[in-house]
Amino acid sequence: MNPGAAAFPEFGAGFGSELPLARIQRGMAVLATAPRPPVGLTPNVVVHAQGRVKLRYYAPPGATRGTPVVLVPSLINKAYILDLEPGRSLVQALAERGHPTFVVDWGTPEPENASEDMAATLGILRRCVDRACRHVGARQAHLFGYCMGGTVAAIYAALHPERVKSLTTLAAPILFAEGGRFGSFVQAVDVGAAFPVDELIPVERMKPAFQLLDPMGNLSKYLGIEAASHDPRQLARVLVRERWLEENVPLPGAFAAEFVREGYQKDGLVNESWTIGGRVVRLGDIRVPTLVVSCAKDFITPVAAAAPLAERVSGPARHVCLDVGHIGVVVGGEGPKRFYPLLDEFFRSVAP
Amino acid sequence: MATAPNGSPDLGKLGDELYQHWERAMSSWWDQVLESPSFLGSMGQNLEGAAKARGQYERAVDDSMQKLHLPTRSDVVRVAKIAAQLEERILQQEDLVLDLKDQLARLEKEAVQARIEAAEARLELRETLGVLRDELVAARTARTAAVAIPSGDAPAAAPSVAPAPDPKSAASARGRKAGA
Repeated sequence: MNPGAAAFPEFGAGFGSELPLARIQRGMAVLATAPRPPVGLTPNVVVHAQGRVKLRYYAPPGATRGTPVVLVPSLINKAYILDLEPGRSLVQALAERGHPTFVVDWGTPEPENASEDMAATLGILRRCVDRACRHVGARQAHLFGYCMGGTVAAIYAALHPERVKSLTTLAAPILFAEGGRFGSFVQAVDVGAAFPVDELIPVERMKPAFQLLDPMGNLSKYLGIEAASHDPRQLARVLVRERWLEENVPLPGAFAAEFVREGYQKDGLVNESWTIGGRVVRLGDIRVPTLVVSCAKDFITPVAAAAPLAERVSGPARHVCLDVGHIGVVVGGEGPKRFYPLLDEFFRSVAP
Repeated sequence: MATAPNGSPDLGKLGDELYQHWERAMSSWWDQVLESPSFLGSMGQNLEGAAKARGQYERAVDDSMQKLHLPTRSDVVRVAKIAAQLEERILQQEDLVLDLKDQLARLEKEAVQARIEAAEARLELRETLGVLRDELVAARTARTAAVAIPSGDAPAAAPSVAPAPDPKSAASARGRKAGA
């Protein structure tokens, strides 16, 4: 049943009910009324916890051997973005291919976490990588970061290479000068005033910036929802994606302020001006094999912002650009077809 | 113009075309707006204003709570921060314990390795001793033989020196005699 049609049975009658505005209205009704599908269904166990942060372990079938993979999602998303639905789940795909897979679940920050900056975040990540290695009896781990999590992973690999076997970044901003529209939004912002370091940055304050990345997309997405509403499977897929967009989490103010100031305003990674815990972050200190994945249709992290990591690391590096968007790369059709096998092949090439 | 099979205008398709034209026009308008310095400036001001307003609101609520002698949000946050710091200290201890465990495991491995090496060295020594003993026996035998054949081709008669009596067997013989 199409809930939108039920809510607006007579809308557009006599003039052609297929008018785009009528479809947009129906799409809105579908989005407002349809229950959201469950997410994060792949079985996992929490092997380490620190406050709100949890390290989730997705065991491969059979004996647990080999180099663990530690996935670092963006800090403004919930961890289930890497496990949205069976068949389109990165963690499920990696575990099924035999990789002991761990996800750093950043949880939802509370006011007491507001003063956690990049150094504190790296401290949490260091412990997670350590516990993941210990859990499977390995010395090093493959580190994978998505979006902002990719930037964090790259910084971590530069500062703490001891336990890093390889680095993979997906749609992670590195050259912030090419950060696209989001970069220009925060370029002139007074960071101290807009991102107080002792407060959480609520979702409502960040969301408009993301919505303005593609203003007309906010309207035309309802056409897609209406079209998908005729097929339950398609609708579930679209709603899962919407859930991702709806359920952001606040950012610790200190982290947000540092990320905007040192990243977007000073371009601190390529200029080597970003100092964390008294140490300058130098991408050239990354000597492990590196895979940089960018997305051709990415509004949030354009290719020009993500790709330069491959040229700046000292180890062997490879850049792959996929013809998808920022979210579609993980949940769209390209995920199971191209992206998951690409990761599997890379990890095996580094640690056979 | 989009037409239906009967030649009349297809309002559905016309609507789609109209929408697409409108969407394109709006997109380019948005592009201009979003790149204009005045918009970007006001966006920054909005962010700053929102942060300031929230801060003021929080402080006002805290003041009211304090006047009512109730714990404020800041008080709760302070307590939660202490709990987080305690947890951090516990985790630091856990880190130390794990590091010590690693060191112990390494030491244990080194100790086992050292014992294996010592045992191997003793075995080697024993083998060397065995070889030396054999060589010594051979040398004694050769010496005895050399002493027994002073000259000539004929073998010499066995030396007439009787072997020294074994004190144990002599004692047991005495015991047997006394019993008889």
